[in-house]
Amino acid sequence: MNTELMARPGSHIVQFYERDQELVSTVASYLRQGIGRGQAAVVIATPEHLALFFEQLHKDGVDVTAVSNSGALVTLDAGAMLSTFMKDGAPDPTAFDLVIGKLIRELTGKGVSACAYGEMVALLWDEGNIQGALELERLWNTLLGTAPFSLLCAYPKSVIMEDQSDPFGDVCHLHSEVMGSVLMGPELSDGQIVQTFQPVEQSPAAARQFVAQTLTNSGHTHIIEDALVVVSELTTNATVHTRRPFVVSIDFVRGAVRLAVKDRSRVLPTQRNGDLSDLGGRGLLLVEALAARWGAELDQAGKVVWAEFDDA
Amino acid sequence: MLSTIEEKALVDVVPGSHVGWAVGEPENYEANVSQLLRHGFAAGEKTGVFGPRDDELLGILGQQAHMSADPLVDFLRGEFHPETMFAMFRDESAKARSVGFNGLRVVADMDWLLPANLASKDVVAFELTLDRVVKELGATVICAYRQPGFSAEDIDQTLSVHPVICGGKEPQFRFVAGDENTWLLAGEVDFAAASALAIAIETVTRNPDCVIDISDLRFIDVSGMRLLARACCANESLRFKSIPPFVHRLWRIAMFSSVAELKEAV
Repeated sequence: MNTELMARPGSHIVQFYERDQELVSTVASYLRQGIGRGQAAVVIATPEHLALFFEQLHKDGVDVTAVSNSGALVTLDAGAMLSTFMKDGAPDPTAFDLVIGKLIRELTGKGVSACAYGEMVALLWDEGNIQGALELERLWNTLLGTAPFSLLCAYPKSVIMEDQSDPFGDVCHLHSEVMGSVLMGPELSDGQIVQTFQPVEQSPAAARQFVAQTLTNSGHTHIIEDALVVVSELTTNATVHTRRPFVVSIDFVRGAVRLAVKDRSRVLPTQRNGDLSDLGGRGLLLVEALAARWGAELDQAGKVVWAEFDDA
Repeated sequence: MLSTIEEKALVDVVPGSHVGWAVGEPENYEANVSQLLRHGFAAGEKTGVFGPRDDELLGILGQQAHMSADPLVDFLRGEFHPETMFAMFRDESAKARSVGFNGLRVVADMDWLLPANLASKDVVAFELTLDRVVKELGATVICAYRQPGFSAEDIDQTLSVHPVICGGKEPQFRFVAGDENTWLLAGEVDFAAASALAIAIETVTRNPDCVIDISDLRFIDVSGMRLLARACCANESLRFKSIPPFVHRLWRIAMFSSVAELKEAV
């Protein structure tokens, strides 16, 4: 995880984290960067997380007490803040602006930028109020257009594993940057090297980087050129057609390199053999021509599209 | 005081560069612009500063440059007349050189210079024309883009049409002016790059007989080829230079030749 976060005012970044330590180190780094550059910092979190952030900031040499006393660091309880603008399970835009908007405007009033971290959206999601969380993200986006601050949000990775991966896609699309298109990995899983990606447009490029790196390390450089085209086509399809996270795996079997893209959709790819005077399709034409063998199968979670490249 | 990352990057701006600067440290804007102006002065360039919107800061920076926001330019900002801006720029460059300067150096806050809510395709079109002009005149132009005036997507898009960048994410591809009527397309063109690149190509192919040099194109897939095929269909006179063999190969395999040919420039 890239901890040298340069959050530009106007950025709205989301991080999906597995363990608290990941979250703490990212948030502390983000706040430290902002404070170091003279920005005001706003932290809206649970009391437990606030304590962890302060502990880390202290370890990183930030005098939290001094910064708080000078008014450059504002900390708020996420639950308490939610209750100031939630009405009947939905965030009220006017109340949100009166509380959060006003706070941000006060901090950035004299030409100062701010960096904000918020977990109110995660709390809403946790209690099952997904629409409320998405609506709150939209309100934050409106506010981001009016004052010079950046916003980092965090959700636990468990939100991706749930069946409602469509709202997950919505969350990604509401952010200017999803921290890395890479969700997890690379890691070893059942003898395969795998990496999980968001369904965002930068993912095919990230997937190509994963494949290029892995095949360079394994000494299969002669396969890389064709493998990159194939993985780009398969991951573009997964991003565009399924809008759900997908996994790219690399396997070395029987003298061949096997690439596979697993996603949660049960719609198999279809090769278009029709009129080639139009511009649509064609991705699978490349897969067919460049791979030694390829196929697509349904499995319990969704489907797998795989392509093999012979070593010799 | 330790240099910030942006400060270090801006030190490296050489005369004759067209720089896209994604401002990441707004609180250091004044210091960074001052440094740019000082370097221009040292290089014998006539310096100009346009914007930012903060009148006080504009006043301070204006004192450090030979020229600053001209009331005439202010007046023109009500409506967008890029041709007039470029004509004035050429004029100023000629005048500066005739009295012994080595050219012009301009630092422009794009939020100030361009009308609010200008469509991103028009920002790209403006920058592509500016690129051609900067090359022709040997001028130094630093275009500062910041949020929230420009969206993150707009900034990423505009960086990809600058030959030199500071701050922001490294663009996946670059599309910039080459010699004469040639444009250079370098990097990787895939699904993510396609929409931004489509705008750039559509802009430059408004002029006939345009040549795109793709010697530094390192990757293309179906999304990228589709975009080039569309451009070829829309513009019969479009030619390509130094087409890498891998592009010919993929074009043939994906059967794009049934739609269009990538015509090689002689």
